[in-house]
Amino acid sequence: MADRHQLLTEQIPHLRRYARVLHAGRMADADDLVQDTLERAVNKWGLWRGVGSVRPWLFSIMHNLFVDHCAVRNAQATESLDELPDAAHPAQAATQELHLEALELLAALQRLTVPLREVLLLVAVEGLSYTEAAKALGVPTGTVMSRLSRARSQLWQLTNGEGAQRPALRIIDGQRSVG
Amino acid sequence: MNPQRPDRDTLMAYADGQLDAARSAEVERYLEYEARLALNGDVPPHGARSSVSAEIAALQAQNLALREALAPMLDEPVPARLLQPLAPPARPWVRAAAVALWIGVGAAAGSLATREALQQNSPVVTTQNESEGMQHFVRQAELAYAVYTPDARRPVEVREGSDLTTWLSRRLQRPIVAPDTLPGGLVLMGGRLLPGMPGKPAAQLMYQDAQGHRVTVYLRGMAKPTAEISFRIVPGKPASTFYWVDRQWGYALTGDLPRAQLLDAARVLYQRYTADDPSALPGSTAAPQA
Repeated sequence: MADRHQLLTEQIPHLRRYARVLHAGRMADADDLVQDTLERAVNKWGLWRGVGSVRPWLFSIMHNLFVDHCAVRNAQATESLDELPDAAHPAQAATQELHLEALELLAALQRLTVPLREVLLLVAVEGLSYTEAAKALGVPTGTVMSRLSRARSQLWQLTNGEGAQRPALRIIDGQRSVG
Repeated sequence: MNPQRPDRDTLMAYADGQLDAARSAEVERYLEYEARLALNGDVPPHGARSSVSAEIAALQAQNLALREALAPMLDEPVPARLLQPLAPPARPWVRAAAVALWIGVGAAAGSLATREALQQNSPVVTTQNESEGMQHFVRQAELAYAVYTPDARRPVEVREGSDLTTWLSRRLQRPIVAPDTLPGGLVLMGGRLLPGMPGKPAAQLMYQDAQGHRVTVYLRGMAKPTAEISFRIVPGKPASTFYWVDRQWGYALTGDLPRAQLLDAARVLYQRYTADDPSALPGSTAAPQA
């Protein structure tokens, strides 16, 4: 029990980051997704074979939940934001410390489609192998590679190409007022 | 025979460290060949295309830039609600153990200077609701301990100093005192603000001794009117929690230290917080004090 608790707790920052990239910076949605992922992981703990890192398995749970969530959302297009009042979140402060280049890169990342964002996150940032990423996303390894290749050249164009723009970065959900 | 230029997928896999030794070696053979050509001033075999080494460098630079841009997110504090699913759902043994231990602690509390004060105005009443509220409170304290004490890089949000107490006092809307030291060589590191209950944020203070053991103090206003409670202990593995409620405020001291030492520390905190009268509470309407 203690092991499971510790293993999962350690992964929360990584899950939050993945969720936030999936949800294009909408913090409340992202944390809802993390919460659902953790709940499912606890319930389905027996399915994790304890082989290798638990992180790819958690990412696959999160990916599937996100896909389901998007399907439901497209179907009903309603949204409920019943969240607990958070303390002032330091995400803003954290991003302010980033260099402009990093901000541009994050903004460009959010302009990619979700499947492209996912492979970049899993492979380039989280360091999953192509095989692990393929398993987490439920696609063939070849698909992971072709998406990666596309993601990279699009990202490259967005940050270096002539069409490079600077859309406002949505790390903080604009709907949430502070104070 | 000159080596074949690796295709794009191979380069990408090489940059991502995904190739096995044999295929990595092939790429490296080509890189050596390319470097030799450049050294001799020969026309590169790729014509107008960029060199393989440049392509690999660009891919790796992009990976690195992404990792760096996204790294700060890992250091953000985890909201307490995300830790809820990880807590064991119901732990009847905790209550049983707490009750069982209360007897032992009660005896130990006999040595406390606070004993009379506690006995005079706070008979120990444990109603069902209060007990559940207290369980939740203790669990929050335990989780906050479990999450933040192992953090090597950023265990506290704000380091010790007058900024810390000023800030926490403002956010919790009551005087927050943070003694510089607690018995057992515990030295204040700093603290952080945490989500507690709606409208009642929580504060965590962290202390560390010379051996690196960390102890946390967790306090917040209780959500519901709560009878005052003198020292109780919830033993845990490895950390135990002492908690008490005084004038609608819950306090918890969590640490992996001998019980006697935790009790000493708890006693000092109790005294400090009793001395600083928080009677000017904003939410004191919920306090039907007997």
